[in-house]
Amino acid sequence: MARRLIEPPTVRIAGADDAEAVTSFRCGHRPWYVQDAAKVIRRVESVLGTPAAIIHRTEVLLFEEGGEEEDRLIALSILQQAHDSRTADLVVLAVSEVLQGAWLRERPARPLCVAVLEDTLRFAAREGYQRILAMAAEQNTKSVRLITRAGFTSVTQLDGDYVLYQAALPSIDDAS
Amino acid sequence: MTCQGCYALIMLTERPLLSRDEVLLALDPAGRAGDSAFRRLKLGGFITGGIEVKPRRGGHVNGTVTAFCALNRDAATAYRKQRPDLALRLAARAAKLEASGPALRLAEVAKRETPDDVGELDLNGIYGRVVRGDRRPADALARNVAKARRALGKALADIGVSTIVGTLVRIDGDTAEVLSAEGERYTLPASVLPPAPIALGSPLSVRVESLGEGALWTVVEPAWSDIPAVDLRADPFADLRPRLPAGLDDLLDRAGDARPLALIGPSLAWR
Repeated sequence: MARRLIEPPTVRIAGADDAEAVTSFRCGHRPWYVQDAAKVIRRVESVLGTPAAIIHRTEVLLFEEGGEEEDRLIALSILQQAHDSRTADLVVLAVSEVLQGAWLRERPARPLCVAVLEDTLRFAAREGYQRILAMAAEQNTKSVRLITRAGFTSVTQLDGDYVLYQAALPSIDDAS
Repeated sequence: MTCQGCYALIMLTERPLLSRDEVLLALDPAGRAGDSAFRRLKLGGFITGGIEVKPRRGGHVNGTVTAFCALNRDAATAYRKQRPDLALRLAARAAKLEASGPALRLAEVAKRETPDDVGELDLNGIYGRVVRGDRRPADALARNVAKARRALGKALADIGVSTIVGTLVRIDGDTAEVLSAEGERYTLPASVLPPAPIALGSPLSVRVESLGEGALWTVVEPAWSDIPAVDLRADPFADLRPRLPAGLDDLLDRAGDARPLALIGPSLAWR
């Protein structure tokens, strides 16, 4: 089957005005771990701009494709501070349900999800984090493959079916 | 669990009642005003007599705490700034609030012992009792005081007083940051923060008074929040995903050095 190729998206940090766009973002309904991610994404509306978001340094990155009339949100990631100020927590990384499996029209081409992960990690490094944590469901083999290929290693099994992963972020210079 | 949905409904205001010392400090920021100055103000009607609370402890009345409606501090400031007309107006409003139903009910609630009473039964002790007992009268009084201060906003601005009420969202070395209810962020020297138990997520009020010639007097105090115990330090998504385990640092150490990430593709365009 031919790869679906799209133009590389642009990235920006979501503000309080973006709450509606984030809420209407759809990353699918099944299986259960996709639903888990969707619930977290729906929570964003009530978190953006609140003291809790600032305390946790919660940032939502919006990956948008330029449309004829307006930009379309095609992926997002949520990053916040974990238990200490040098450790980031990759809360969610999600690609729109209609673009899952898409690749970017680049040379060499790379999957959209890889580009979203890489720019999220670069952002985390620029924010001064040295390490990043991520939780992935064991059954979510695509996500596990995505993050382990990027360099995440498993730390421990969490409650339920999730595994905690960690990786060292590059220095700010290397991330730019 | 942090209820982010609830957060939008939280009302933050200044604490509705102040101690005599706090009112006196507004009369003389250098702290030299004493009993006689206080008596003079009270006799002239420039401040009120306050609300008397006779807290009980061990089945007996344990002294008397006099708490003053927060508008008295503004009245003392107006008096200091040669605005006796405004001081009288503010004191009259404060007297009405002190005689109101919520204030009288608050005094009743504060009398009653609670199982967790510890320490001195000063104004802070009274606030603690109210929070543990029945906080509704204090919530109502706080709302009424805030409403009165809003109505008197122009007069307060005339004497150089402005107040920001918000949440402490950052403490970083020498500076701290407060997020106001309107979404504005204010940076303050960390040294002006009140002592513990102030922590990230604590509601604070920042009262700034212009003293002329560019000088500002800043008083940072705990604020009144009508929803207690919302722990803003908790992960905003905690209830939607597994918790990070306790002793995470040990676990991460045991897992060995984290592998460096391989970022191979070009950066996307940022906007």
